[in-house]
Amino acid sequence: MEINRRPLIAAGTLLGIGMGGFVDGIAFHQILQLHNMLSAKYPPNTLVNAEINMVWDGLFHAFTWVVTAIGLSMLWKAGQKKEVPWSTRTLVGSLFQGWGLFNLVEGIIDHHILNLHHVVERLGVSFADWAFLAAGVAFILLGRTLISAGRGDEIGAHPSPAAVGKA
Amino acid sequence: MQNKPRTVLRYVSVFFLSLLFASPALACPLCHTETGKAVRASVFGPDFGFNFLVTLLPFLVFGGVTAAIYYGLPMPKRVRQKPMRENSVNKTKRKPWK
Repeated sequence: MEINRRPLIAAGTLLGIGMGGFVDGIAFHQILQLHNMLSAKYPPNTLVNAEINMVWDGLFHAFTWVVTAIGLSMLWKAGQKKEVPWSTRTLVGSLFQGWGLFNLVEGIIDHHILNLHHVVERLGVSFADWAFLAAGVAFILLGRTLISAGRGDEIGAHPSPAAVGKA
Repeated sequence: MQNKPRTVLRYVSVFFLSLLFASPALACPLCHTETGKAVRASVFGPDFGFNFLVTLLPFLVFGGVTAAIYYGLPMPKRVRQKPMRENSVNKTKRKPWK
């Protein structure tokens, strides 16, 4: 049986994107309040602007939630396919790959191209923006390393006995 | 001792009831206040489409990348060739032209 890891990698990547988005939204937007979705356009120094940013932050979180839900659904379906090895290294690597992808894509588009906001808003484009991108690259490299390491993982323990077949 | 759970329940009930009488937020997007109106006007103003699109844009890229991972990129398949030893002509063994 030909092994196919694509469903697992795709699901893990999408889940990693969602988890990375939640880390950004919860830690940077809400707890530390370093920036908001449109804080470069509407500086949150008035109540009205803070509320406007909260609406767009909410929309960002809504999209992140949808991405996470789709990733979860894809992971469930991957677990039901016989040809998908249930590899921890592949899944964890995919999660890191997704998180790194979030940092890289969101960082380039929102921080550098569109200038919607910056990691530390009051500093503008700063080392924090570049560190955000560097972290994305590092996560992707780590993820790819783990995914490659998981290439040799065979179809062993599998969540769905039906997918493996009766013993 | 037996009344302790009832006491806790009373305190919890009073707390949640008191929330109903708390001062409402003055700037929520649904509020009928001047600040709330200003928030709504800005959110649903002329920039709504652009702001929505730029918020969505990274997620479209994420979806594209994930689809590429799942379905594979439409690239020409690499044709595996047999090892050179078996296929290639060993030029050193050719007879020299006379």
